[in-house]
Amino acid sequence: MQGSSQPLLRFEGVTIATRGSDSSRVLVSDVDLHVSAGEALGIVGESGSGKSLTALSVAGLLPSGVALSSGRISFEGKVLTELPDSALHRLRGKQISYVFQDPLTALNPTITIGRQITDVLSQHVGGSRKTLKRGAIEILSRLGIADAEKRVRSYPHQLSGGMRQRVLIALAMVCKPRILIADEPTTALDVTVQAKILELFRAIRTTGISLIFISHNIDVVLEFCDRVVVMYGGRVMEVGTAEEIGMAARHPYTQALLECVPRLGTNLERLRVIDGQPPGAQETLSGCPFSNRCPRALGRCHSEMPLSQQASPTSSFSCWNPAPTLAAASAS
Amino acid sequence: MKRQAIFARLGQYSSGVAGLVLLGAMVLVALLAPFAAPSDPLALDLASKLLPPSSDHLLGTDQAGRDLLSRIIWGARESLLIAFGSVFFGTLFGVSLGLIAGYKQGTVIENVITRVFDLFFSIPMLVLAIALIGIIGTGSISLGPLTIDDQAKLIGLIAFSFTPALGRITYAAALVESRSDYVRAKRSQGASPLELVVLEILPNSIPPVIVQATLFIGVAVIVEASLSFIGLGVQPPTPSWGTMLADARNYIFSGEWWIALFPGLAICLTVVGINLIGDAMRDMLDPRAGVRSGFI
Repeated sequence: MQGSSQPLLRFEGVTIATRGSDSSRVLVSDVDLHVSAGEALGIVGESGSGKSLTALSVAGLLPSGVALSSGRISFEGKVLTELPDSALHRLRGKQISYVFQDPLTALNPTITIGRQITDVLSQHVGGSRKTLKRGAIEILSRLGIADAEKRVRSYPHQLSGGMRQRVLIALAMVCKPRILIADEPTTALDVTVQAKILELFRAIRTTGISLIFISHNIDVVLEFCDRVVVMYGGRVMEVGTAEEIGMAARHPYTQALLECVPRLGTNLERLRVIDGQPPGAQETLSGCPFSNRCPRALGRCHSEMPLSQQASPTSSFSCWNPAPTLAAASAS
Repeated sequence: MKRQAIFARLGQYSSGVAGLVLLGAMVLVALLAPFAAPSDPLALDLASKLLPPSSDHLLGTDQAGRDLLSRIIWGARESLLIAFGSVFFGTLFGVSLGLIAGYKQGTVIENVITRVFDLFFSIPMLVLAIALIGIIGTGSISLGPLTIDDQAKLIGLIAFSFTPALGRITYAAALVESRSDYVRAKRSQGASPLELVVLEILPNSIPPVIVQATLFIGVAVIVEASLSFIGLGVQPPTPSWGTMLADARNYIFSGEWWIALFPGLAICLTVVGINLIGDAMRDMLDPRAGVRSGFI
């Protein structure tokens, strides 16, 4: 693992809110993150935890009505949040690529997949029609699409969900970006297809590309990423290496997430369920967003947001009343 | 697509094929007018005026002895040119404005465009056309080297009155499409706004516009005929179906039925043909009909 002295991508105090002077809602607050070159960072959280917005903010893709209200994002030393849109759209697809959740709707239904890939290639790399077409066929076959020469002439509706996700990954990978941001890339797929797509991401990791992998499935992220960020209610709850999060999580929310997933070798009669609902964007919270559902909540949890505490050189958590690690709890 | 497959699919839309044959025949006749017309549509022959259909004059003659069949054939040129021309320009303007408004959602531009559409929507199309003709007058006007004859005026006018409706349809579709995942994905791949609008939003917004534009060709034929009928459209002696009907109104009750019947029939058959095509297109392009595959 590279040191964090020269990260590829860095978030500093990123806060995202709805626009509108009278009714501005904070959706993501005060996120500090970094991704080093070649590293895979996982972001875990429930729906509405702000993980997708955080990812979209990197290339200025926030939906209309939502904007960065403070903080900055820098990429290779350039401050992305100060770049004009024209400069950003040269970076998008070339240096920073995305793979979105739903492969069924993320491809233009009226254009062949070959054309969609060559469009991206010609925009960022250029070349003759022949080289472009060869590039499209090459990336498709490299991503495990059989018969790529024929498939480039297919329309999206002629492909299965798994194939379409491969095409989307091809679109994101074809210009050899520095960082790939995958927003729940397997959620809309069948379990067997999910496994294959994850296999593909594992292969992509070996090419040295940095990866931000967003998922609500903590197991997938733990298995697959170097470091993991746990988000809840628009805030970072805990950060650490995959091992630290998996074995030595301190935040009650992280522990609850881990206990929600069945594990071999444990004899739980029922899986844990986290009571209550995550806070909606309408609620303004003064304290920790998890305090209403937290079994360990103290009085001050409801009124004061805990500061981030360093637990080890590579991990930190934000909690007033951290739990003992799961390993320690089961030992006692 | 294989040839049999095309025929098999056309078989599901037999009414559309019938419409295509009707309109195709009209267009062919209009294009071949100099060869198809048996005589000069403007040649006066007062000796043979108001003759009923006979072997000399298949559809009879009018009050100035002009051959009705020739006039209907030449009139097809005028009527169809105005109809297709006005729908072409109306679609061009409407789609462009609708796309801009849909893509620029949440901005002042969107508000201005849609409010202007609403404004023109509140005035009936024919009344709007009559009012505008009243302002710009009939006959040709010269703007420096440019001569705008009444045909071009009619095309512009009808195109103008179609623009809001076509624009609103495009706008509604573009509004949905520009929020769609693939537009977002394309944006994340570094596409410029122009590429997003032309390559992503336009092809996916266009099906309902095609249907409406097709139906508007029929409406344009009627509007042209109506305006010509009340003397605000194509000016005599140029034959158009509307001016022919206008000439015929004095003879309906005196027994010369053919003067009114045949131009009316021409209008009727053309409009029916176009509407059949439009209906078939709507079924073909409707994704819920389940027969859609790559037809754009």
